Amino acid sequence: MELERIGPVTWRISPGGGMRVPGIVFASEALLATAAEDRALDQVANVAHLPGIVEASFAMPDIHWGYGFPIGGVAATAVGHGGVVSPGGVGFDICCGVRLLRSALDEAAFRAHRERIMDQLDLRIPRGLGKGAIASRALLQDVLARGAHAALDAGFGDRRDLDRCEESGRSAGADPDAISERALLRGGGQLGSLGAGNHFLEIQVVDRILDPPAAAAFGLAEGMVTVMIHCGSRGLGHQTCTDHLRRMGSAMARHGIQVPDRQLACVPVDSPEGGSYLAAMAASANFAWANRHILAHEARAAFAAGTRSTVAALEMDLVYDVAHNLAKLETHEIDAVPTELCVHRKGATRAFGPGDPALPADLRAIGQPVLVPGSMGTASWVLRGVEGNPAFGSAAHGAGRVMSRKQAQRTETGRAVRSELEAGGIAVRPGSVRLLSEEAPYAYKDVDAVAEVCELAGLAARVARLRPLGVVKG
Amino acid sequence: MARYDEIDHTADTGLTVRAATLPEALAAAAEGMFRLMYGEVSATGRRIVFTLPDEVPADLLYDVLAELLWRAEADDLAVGHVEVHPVDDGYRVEAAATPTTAVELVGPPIKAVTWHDLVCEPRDGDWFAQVIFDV
Repeated sequence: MELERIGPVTWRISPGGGMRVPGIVFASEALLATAAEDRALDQVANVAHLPGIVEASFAMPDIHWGYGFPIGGVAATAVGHGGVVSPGGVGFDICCGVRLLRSALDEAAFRAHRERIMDQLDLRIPRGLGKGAIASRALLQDVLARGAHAALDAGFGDRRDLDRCEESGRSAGADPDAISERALLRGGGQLGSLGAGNHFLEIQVVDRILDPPAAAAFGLAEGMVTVMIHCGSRGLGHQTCTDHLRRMGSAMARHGIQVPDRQLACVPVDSPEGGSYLAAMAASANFAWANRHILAHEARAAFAAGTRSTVAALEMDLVYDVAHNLAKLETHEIDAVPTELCVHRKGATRAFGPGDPALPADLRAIGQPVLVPGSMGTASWVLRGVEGNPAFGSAAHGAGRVMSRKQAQRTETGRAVRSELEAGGIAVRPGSVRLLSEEAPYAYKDVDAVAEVCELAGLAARVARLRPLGVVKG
Repeated sequence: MARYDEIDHTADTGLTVRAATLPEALAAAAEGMFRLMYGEVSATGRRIVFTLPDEVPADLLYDVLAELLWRAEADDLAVGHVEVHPVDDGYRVEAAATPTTAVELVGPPIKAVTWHDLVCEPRDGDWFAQVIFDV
């Protein structure tokens, strides 16, 4: 594959074959080299085949090989002009995302109560296999319709949480009836659970501030302990995507659509199949918003019990909650004309800049908080959206894997990874010790480099670096 | 004798399978999918049984795996031995299983079967199958 350097950290894949637009990759030379080791760049080119795609098939700095779309892929299609929606551009874990809570604790205060807090989290955060959910099935239908609003009305969380959540924690256009019985049976009982794999709850400390005014607006200060939660729509979302991919696979011929990878199955946004998927996707997203909302409620309770304090005294307000697996109808300028687009972000975070009306009033002058988790032994970043983002207001979603799970397991045992983390002062409560090795720091790219490239590429600006103190894994 | 090998995928997992017949390839892929999550599973009397219509082999592979995955997760089961038998106009899948409370994860839970790089075809006198799973 031929890549042309068109900026310090920007690379272009020229349209060839059936590509309708170029591919644009944001990466340093080092990050690009890791992306080129597998088939991620081929996937950037494949996405450029989607009908109605505009401007480019974009890849964020944490790009790596996925299925259909690359992880870190962004593609926008023109609604009403043949533009398609592809469930593969959202992924099976619909509305997987990250939530960050601030707190009144500093590192010393956390360490004084560390074991009790970690034990409380261990007790209160269902994870791994099985249901183990906090919330009742009775809440499910309301959650599918109203997302975090339903969880709030059921007694979880705080009303201020909704203001600091993308979409206010409720995706528009959700239709609970578009969720299949299979999806309900598979994942309905998992509301209020973390899952496993790369999902986590981490306690982190703000170890560096690069943009003091933005950090202050977000409620962050150097030395502050925070809580980051990464999870999604669990089995309900996985099954919803599976159901609709199957239907779209057979509907594509009727719409005269061909794609280079079946996982890119798609239909026009304004077709009945497209509408049905978007309604089901939004209901699944509502499950995910509510899921993180409920887990945050439990995290607050765990901290209160662990410190023998109160939730109010701990000031564990929500900094922000962002999705990184979602397709959204947004208006962006194409050739200076405001155009309705279906923006797919597969392993990419929305990153709207200052002045955007979608942002809460108190953050509108600063830009949207963008949460970029790293690995459990290194760091995570809080960025902010900037003006002139070249990729439909999108940025990276994490460090990005550089090593397969099999390689990672061969490199070290889970027990060894746990020992190294604990030797580094990071408390660990794993659902499975063995699986820790798959998520070891060496399996991921350098998250500091990813954050730096986001800034150099004009995707988002660095605000604060967070260092892990404790991790609860599925 | 059917055999499967794990694919080294950066973010996800996958399998390649070789078997003498299509039903054996389907069964080996199904057993392999659950072994990626649970290792060897000793069945304890729980069963998952269903029949699928005949279709092109790759679609059949996808449907066998996707059907088993959702049924197992909905009932909190881990699957061990799998048999696939041709029946009139289709295939009958019989899986022996055990509750997930009796097993331990050895790999990340599989979220879904993907169409990416999906293959199921006769190759060099055997049946060859390849599948990538989202984890």
